[in-house]
Amino acid sequence: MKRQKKRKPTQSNILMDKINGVNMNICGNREVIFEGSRGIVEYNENSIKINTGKYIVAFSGRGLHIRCMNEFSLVIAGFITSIEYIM
Amino acid sequence: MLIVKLLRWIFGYFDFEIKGRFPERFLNLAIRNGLNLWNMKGEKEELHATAKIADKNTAELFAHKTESELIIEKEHGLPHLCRVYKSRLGLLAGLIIGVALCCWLSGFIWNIEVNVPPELNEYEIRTRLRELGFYEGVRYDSDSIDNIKRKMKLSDERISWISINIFGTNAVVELSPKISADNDQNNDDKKVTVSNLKSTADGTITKINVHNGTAMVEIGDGVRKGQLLVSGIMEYNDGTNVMADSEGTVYAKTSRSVTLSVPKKYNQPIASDDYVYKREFSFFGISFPITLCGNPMGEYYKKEYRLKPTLFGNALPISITEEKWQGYDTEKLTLSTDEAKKLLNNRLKLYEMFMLYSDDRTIISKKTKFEEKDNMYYLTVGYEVEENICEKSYIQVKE
Repeated sequence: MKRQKKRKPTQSNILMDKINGVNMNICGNREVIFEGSRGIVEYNENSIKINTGKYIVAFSGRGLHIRCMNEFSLVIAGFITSIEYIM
Repeated sequence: MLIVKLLRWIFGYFDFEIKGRFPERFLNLAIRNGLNLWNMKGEKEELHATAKIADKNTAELFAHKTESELIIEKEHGLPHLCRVYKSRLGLLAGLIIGVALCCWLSGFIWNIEVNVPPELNEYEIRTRLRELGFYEGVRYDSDSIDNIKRKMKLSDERISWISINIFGTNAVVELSPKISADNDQNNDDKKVTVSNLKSTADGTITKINVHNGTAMVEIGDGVRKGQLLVSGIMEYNDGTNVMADSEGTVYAKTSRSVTLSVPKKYNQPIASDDYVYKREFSFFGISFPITLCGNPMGEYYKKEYRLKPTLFGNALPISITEEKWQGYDTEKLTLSTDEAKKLLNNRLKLYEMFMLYSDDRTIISKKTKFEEKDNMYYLTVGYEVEENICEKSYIQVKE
């Protein structure tokens, strides 16, 4: 029987599980470091929507752009006016 | 960040635009498959981004999969430049030759700076260095430089130390003159050495002021040049001797005379209007004459000017040398008695100013005699002066 690989229970993993796999670090209204992304649903200057699996997080504002990203996390920069959870 | 930019430029990158109904799909697919994108700007049904040149085909494939259109806006970086200038082989050859030339020329000395102390002459040093094979345009070789340093020290006794420092293609020559043992003794060991005071001239003692040592003469005594005035060996009543560094002043009335002469007839050089200019252009140590004329024959003065341009404080291996040869004629002149008197009096003033006047010397009387003899004018002056006639004479003491 194939042995299932167990995830190491680090402090950040425990925290990620508690918050349903999403972690956002918001710096004022200019930058958001987003962890737990499953894909981008919408991307333009005024709106960025990110799929997290259970819900979609929508950022609205002006001059929004993704500064850098990888498979699970990204950095959103710009003038953020609202953050919305779409269930 | 600078290194990242540099690496991106070396490997090459391209700006592109994704057009389609859902450009976000392209973005998700690219990120999941490890396609590195940056400068992403999203607009309605459009996405602008930048990626590596190596990922161009992958990006096109993803665009096809997501039913979007990929439009390449601009390419940047070294691979792009190579492709653009691929057909211009001359540029590549020029680049290679330029780099090779720079590497080759950096092995030569193109500028020599000589820092000489006042005791030595820069022109002499430069000439000597040239004779030994160290000049502008010579190939740098550390062994030969060591040899040159050694030979310079051996050839000139005045040099005690020489250093040749190479900074790129510039050489800085530093020299230090020899200091004689006498000077050294005078400067450093004044207080610890034993010395006497001796007379520098014949005369009659008028004043004695001894700070240290034993006076061997009295006021009114007549002394001869070289006679002992103050002894450094002091004897006490108990018979013991102490050796000391004698100090003091001994004034004496002395007489001295000077004879100045000037010929009745003499040759005076007078500059003529005959000028010859020679110009030379030196490039990387090789000289090219600009003017087509040789050295003029006859009586000429030569003046040499050298123009050496600098860039950011560094001398360039280019120079222009101009030689100005000015001809002169000699004219036979005859001096009258008045002119000769005037000339000799002026010379006498200079003599007194530089040779006679001193803080510890007073002129008591002066007798002058002017005479004309054998086509010469003579001015003989006899002085009676009161002066300090002391001179230190060191005694070598061996323990």
